[in-house]
Amino acid sequence: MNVILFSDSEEMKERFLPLQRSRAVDFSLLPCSSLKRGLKEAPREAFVYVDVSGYGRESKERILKYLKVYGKRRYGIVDPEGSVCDIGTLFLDGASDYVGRSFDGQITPRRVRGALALRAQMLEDAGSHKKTLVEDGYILSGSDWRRMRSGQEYTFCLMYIELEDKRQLMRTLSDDLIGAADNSFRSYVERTVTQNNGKVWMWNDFEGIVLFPFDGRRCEAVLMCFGLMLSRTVYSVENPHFNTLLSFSICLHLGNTVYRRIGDTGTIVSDSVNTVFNLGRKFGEPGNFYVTGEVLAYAPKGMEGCFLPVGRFEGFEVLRMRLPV
Amino acid sequence: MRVNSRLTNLAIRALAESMDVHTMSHLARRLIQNYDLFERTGFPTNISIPNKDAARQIVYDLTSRELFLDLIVLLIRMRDYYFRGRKYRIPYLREILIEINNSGLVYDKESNQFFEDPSIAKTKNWGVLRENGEYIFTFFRLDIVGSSQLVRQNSPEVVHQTYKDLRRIVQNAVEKRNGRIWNWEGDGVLIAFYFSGRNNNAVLSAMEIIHELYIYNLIKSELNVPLRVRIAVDSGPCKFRHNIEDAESETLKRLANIEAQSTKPDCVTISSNVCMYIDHLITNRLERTGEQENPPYYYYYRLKWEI
Repeated sequence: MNVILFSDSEEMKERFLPLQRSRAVDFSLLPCSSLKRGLKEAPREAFVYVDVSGYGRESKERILKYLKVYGKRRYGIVDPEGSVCDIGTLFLDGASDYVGRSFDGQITPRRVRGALALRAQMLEDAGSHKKTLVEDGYILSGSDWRRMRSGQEYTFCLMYIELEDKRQLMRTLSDDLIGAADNSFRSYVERTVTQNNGKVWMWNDFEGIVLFPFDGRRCEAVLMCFGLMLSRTVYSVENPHFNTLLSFSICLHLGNTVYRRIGDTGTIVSDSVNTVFNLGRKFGEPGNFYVTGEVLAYAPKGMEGCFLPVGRFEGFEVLRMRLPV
Repeated sequence: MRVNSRLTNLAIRALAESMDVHTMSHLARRLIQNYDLFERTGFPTNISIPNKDAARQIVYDLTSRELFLDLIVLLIRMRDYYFRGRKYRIPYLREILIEINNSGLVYDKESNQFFEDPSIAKTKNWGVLRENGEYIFTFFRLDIVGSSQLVRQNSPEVVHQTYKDLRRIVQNAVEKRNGRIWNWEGDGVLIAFYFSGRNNNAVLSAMEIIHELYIYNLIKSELNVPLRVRIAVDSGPCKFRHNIEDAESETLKRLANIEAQSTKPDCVTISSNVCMYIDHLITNRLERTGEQENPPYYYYYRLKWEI
């Protein structure tokens, strides 16, 4: 077992004495200043401890970021001053051990083995999760739009939204007012989805398709649509174009489609886009919010109880949001 | 608001070039009772005061009594509506309004008042209400249900974070509708709305808070029980005091009473004063407590779910 400690503190040397004495451990102590070079030269299987008290506040943040990138390796943080506020994030970023201020014992080979096992388990879990997603046919688009290229296929969370009273509105309002009302509704949808990383992709007469990137972890769009359904009265009062309680229906589905820029979508053929359109137009009852089982699996925890199963559509389980009455 | 020399000069020219001394004098008396222009300028009563001298004196006097904005509001009303039987063309008014905008105030046409531009500053008095002046406000008061129990049963970090989140939710719902948080007193908050649409804005903010808290409890709360609040909305006169504890108002007492005695957890109770003025789309969502023949009766809003 290869363990490297980056520290300038004599006291730390004492705490790692059991590792130095152990025959099973190849232990080396290096100064904090040589961290980057030391990491590059360290064997891949080495477990690295970094004593962050050897750095100033700014360089400490830089080092933690650097270690996050380095996260495929195995490392632990030594923090004798207790200066790291969010210890949980260290673990989320790839650390597998933390030696804090209140720790007054010594680091033993057993502890390092435990940290190694934890890291192995974390990597295995992440790997199997990715594998399942790939088996499901998902092409993860990441959490934002930066890596998205026009003409490439990705998995998106697809949202269909339609204003229910549009036929009534089109009959009763003048052309100018219809235009103003459509713009008002679209800009409300646009404002809301943009805050949640979404893009209005197609839009025509009070209905549209919105895309949300999907990173295989969470689908926040469910929460956003839930909020939209709750705030219908508030929206209707604050938008005087309509002078009536607006009712819209929403459908969310997870599926693949070739991504093209807005306005260049006329020739797209996609099963998922068809499914979400048909779900909204043929299956959905007015004023409701539907999700497919695929989406709900990635909804924020705690939301499952807000939906009721209502059947299947094109092979997908469909659930409807319990509405406020 | 600090009135700079450019603004003063523009106001003097606007007055001098749009009306005669007699009308100016009337205008000044609208704002300062028994205002005597001859006495202020030192001109004998048998000599007519030149327009510019009269305008300068009036602008200086009103500015020194912090009535400059009221003068501009009067000028806007003279232009848009009627003053002593006719409309007036007021030159330089556009420039005056631009100058006032640049100093961080915007004009609200419906209430005919200036208030601070919320993107620049958010003060308790909207930058314009005077200490001890009496105004009609719509208030809402929010109280956390069982706050001492929450504090006892949860770790200080969790309680601290929860209160911080609640503060963010309330602030977000209220400030985008031009409401002002007047007082946080640990487990309760008093919020004031003034200017046009204040009743709608207060009720909509309260409804939004109830919705946001529902979502918060669903997915984010770390408390061992849901975070619940009671909200009461009422309107009425109240003297504005920067230190809100000095404000003695029947409206505030009544509001506290409604909140404590007539509001259930997770509910917004709305007084009939407010209910009269809110949009019908909101009133359709309300239920009534008590008998109309047997006041006081209130309306309330709560989230009810289909089973």
